[in-house]
Amino acid sequence: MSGAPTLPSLFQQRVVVGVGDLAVSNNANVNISTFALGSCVGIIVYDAAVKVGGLIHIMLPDSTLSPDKAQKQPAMFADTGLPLMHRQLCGMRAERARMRAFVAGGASVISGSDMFKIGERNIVAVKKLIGTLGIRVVKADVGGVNNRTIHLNVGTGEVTLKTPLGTSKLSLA
Amino acid sequence: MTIEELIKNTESLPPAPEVLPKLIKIMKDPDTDSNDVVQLIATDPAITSGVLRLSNSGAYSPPSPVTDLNEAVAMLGIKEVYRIVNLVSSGDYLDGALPSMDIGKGSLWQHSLAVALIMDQIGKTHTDMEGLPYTLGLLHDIGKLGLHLGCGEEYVNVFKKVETERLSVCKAEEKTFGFDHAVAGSKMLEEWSFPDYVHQPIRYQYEPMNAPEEHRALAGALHVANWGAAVIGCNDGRDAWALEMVEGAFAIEQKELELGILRAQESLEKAKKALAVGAN
Repeated sequence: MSGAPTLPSLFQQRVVVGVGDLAVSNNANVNISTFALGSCVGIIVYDAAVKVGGLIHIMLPDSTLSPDKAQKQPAMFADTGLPLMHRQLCGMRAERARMRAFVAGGASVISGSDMFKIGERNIVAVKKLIGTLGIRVVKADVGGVNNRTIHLNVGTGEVTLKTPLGTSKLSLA
Repeated sequence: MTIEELIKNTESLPPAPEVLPKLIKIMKDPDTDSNDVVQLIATDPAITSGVLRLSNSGAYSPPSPVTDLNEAVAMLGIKEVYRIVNLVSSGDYLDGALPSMDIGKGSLWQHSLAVALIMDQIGKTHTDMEGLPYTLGLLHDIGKLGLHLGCGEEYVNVFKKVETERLSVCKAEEKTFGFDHAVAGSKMLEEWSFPDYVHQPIRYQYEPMNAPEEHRALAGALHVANWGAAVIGCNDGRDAWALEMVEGAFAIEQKELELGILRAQESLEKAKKALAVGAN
C-alpha cells in the first residue's frame, strides 16, 4: 500500500491566498498557502491554544496610495490588511498574547533607488505594524533575490517555506 | 556558442511566427482598415481559431457567439483583435516550462502578460502606435526561450555567478554566454522580420540609456515594467529578483508607477480568470 493516501490526508483542504488577499481558519484540516512572494510579504499568525491561524499576502506598505483600492481590497496594503487579519483571528477566539507569527518575502532588486525597493519598504511597514499589534514574531525569512512560497497547517501550526533553493519547516505551536 | 550560432540553429529554435510581424507593420500604417487585418489573420488557421475562442471567452462575453473574423473585428474593433492576436501568437512560444531557469509551465506567458498590461499603463504616451507597448511587453522575454532551447544545459552557470558574485541575471548571462536574453530575443525577433521599433526597445531593456534615442523611452518603460511584474508576483524562476534597476531609466513618479502596477494587477486577475493563462 505504499503511496496510498493516509486517512487524515483525505480530509485535508487547501486554501490558496492570492496577492492582496488573506484567509483565517480554525478548521484543523485546512492548509493555507500563498505562492510567489517576491517583494510582497506574507505573514502567518497562529494561536496554538485554539488552533486558529491566518495568512495574509500584502503587496504594498501604505494604503494612502489608493484609498479606494484599500476599501475594496484591504489585504493589499500592510496598514489596512494586518489589523483586519488580527480582528478576524480575534473573532475566532485567538488571543494576542498567544499569537505567534512567521514573516516571509520582501525580496529586493540588487541595485536601484528606494522607488524600486518595495520589498524593503514592505518589511519595514510589516515589522512596525506587528510591533504595534504586539504579536511575537518567531522567525522572519526576508530579503534576498528569490521568490518564496509558504504554507500553514492549521491543525498543527506547522509552517513550510519553499524557495527555488530548498524547503524548510518550523512550528508556530 | 555565439549569438549568430544560437539564432541560426533552427533545429533548437521554434519556427518564426508568420502573422504577427506583418500585423504589427500594417497596424503602424494609418491607411490600414479592417479588411486588411482580417485577410492577414485568415492566412493562419490556428491564430484564427484562437481569436474566435478568445472573442467568445468570458473576457469579452459577446451578446451572441462570434463565428468569423469579420464579426470579431466588428464587435471588438481592430485594436482589440490586434491585442488578441498578440496574446495568441505569444502563447505559442511562452506557455511552456523552461526547466533550465526553474520557470514553470505558463509562468513566462503570465509574466509577459503582466509586463504588457503595465506597459499599457506607462508606455502609451511614448509612441504613436497604441498597441506597441503591449506587444513589447508580451515579447520582451522571448530571448529566455532562445537561451533555454539553445544553451539551457549551461544555464546553471548563470545562477552560480548570480549567487557567488552577486551579479544581475542579465550580467551573469553576458558573462557566461557573451550575450544576455535581451540581446538574444532582439536577434530572434529581427531574424523573424519584426520591425526595429519592436526588437530595439527589447534589445535595450536592461540598458535603456544606451538605446538609440527613438527607442529609449520604450526601452526604459520595459525596464520598469519588467520589475513591476515582479512586484505583482509574476516573475517565476530562480534568482528572479537579481535585477539591476538603472536610476533615471524612465521618467515616472513613484505614485504614478505604483498606481499603474495596481491597475495592471487588477487587469491581470481578470485576464487570468477569463483566459485561463497557463492552463493550456
